[in-house]
Amino acid sequence: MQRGTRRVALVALLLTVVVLFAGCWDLEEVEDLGLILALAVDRLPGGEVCLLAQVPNPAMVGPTPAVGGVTPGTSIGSK
Amino acid sequence: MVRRRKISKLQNLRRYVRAYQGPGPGQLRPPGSTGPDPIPELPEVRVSSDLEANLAVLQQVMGANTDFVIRRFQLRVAKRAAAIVYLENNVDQLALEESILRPLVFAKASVADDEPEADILGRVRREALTAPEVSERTDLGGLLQAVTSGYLGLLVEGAARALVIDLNKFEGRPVGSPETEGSVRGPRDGFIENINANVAMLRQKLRSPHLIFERLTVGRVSVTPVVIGYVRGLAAPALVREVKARVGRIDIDGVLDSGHIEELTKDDPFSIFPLVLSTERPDRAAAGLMEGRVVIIVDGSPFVLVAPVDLLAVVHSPEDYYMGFPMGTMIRLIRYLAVFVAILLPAIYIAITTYHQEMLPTEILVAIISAREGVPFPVLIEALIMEFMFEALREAGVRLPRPFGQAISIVGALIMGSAAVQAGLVSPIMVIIVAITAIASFISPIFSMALAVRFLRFPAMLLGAALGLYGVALMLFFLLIHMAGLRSLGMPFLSPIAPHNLKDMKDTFVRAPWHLMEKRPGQLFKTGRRRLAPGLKPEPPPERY
Repeated sequence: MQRGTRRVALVALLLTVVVLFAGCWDLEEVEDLGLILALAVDRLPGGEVCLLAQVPNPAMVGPTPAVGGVTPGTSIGSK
Repeated sequence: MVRRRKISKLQNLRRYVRAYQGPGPGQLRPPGSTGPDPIPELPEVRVSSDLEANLAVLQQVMGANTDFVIRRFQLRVAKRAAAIVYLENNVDQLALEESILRPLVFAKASVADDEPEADILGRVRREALTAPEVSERTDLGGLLQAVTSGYLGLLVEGAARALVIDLNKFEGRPVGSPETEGSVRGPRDGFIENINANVAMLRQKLRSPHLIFERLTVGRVSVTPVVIGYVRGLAAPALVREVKARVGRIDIDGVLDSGHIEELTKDDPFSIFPLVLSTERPDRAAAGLMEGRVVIIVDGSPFVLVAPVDLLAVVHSPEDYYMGFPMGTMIRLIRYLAVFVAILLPAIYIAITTYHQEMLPTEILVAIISAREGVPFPVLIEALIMEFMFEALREAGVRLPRPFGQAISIVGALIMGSAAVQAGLVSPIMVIIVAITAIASFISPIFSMALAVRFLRFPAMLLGAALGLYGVALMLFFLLIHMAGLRSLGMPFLSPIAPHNLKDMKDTFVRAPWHLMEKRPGQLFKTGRRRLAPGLKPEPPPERY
């Protein structure tokens, strides 16, 4: 192979490798996201805290503008 | 005595024929030669003063062709035997009879037959031939070349030269409107496949005697006429020399379209950008000529090359100059925007939905999420499938016979699109993105530029999917570096942006009013740049009539 050709091939390979190795680590498909539209924190008796998050259910948010069912997710953590 | 002469005649003939048959298949390339491989050159054999010997050689070389005709007759003007040779399908039979055969056979000699032998052909030219374009050949190779180009050869006993007469009959389509560069305002004629018609069309646009067309021939088998046109005094002599040198050095089997010439004269053959503008519009070529550019016309191609060009010129349409400047400017800006959309929209969509969701308003994000619900592919794959489908459809639309084209586009665009969405294979938003991109990619008025834009979408998408918006920016960055390094016939491709020239910016993103575009492009002119007289701004008369 000619020196110039080899150099070009090397640079091309390097660029591809750099992009592929460095890329995609923070890739997140939109449908995998849990979008939190609203968050509520409430103090429970006994020192515990109740955390309520509102996540839209994509299956219900169709092309029609009306927001349908909302699945509440609840998680409880200690103070 | 008689016998000896016969023998020498025969030997002569053998010598000619041997010279004419050229080297055999095994010994095509003389040692040390570097040209293309298998085409033997026509050897130089001078036209003999023996008519029959010449005809025998021609018969030997061309005899296998059924369309090759040798017509013998008695030349009345010189009282000698003569013959015409031609290809019967390539010459105009009517003109052949009217302006060649009739005068040659019937025209009487005005003086006695005592002229020196050398001037028989001159006399034929002066007194018998009524055809307008006549020239002489002294070697049989030149004669044959002319005959196979559609000329008629005239050989006369006793004359060691041959006359060739242009009787070329060209059957081509009539001048129609350009297929790839339509316009609303402006001339509707387009170049056709006939080089002479194209030259005539340009002459009709620019009638100055300073418009020069020089003719070259390219291709060993195709022997294609190529015309290089420029305006003397406007085109830099060095530029014209460069074009002539670049076209002249092309040594190739054949040239079937100006695309061959374009690729072989490009400054960077590996670049995806058209470094030479190819246009079907005579007005565009004429405008280029008036800006000091050089045009290259190739026989058999309706695409005329204009060089040098800059990047922005390939996004401009001649129409911009015919509409008023506000509309011209606005449409130009729309076109620039569309080029960016065509290159970047799918890439930006991929990058934002997979990496930068926070950039979107919540409502849009929720809409995208719900649209993608149930789609089995990642965004990149979805986009690639759709883009592939669109490109395939587009290509099929070009190849399909006309009547099917419409049916296929309806099936492809409407049925497939909506069915794919309903089947949950792609999201409706992706269909919208691809559709917008498709529309935007058709907006470039130059086909070769549209191709580059079409191509650039894919690296942008891949980088957008791998690195997000950073990847898209990276691609633009490398693209810019690449473009900044490009030259078109040695002129910077990004001019007048880089190197910057403020005066020339009047005809880039905006199209300034004509009375303000006083200067020709600074890239091509160091001095003598003024193209219109000062004070041309039209205004109402000072007083009422």
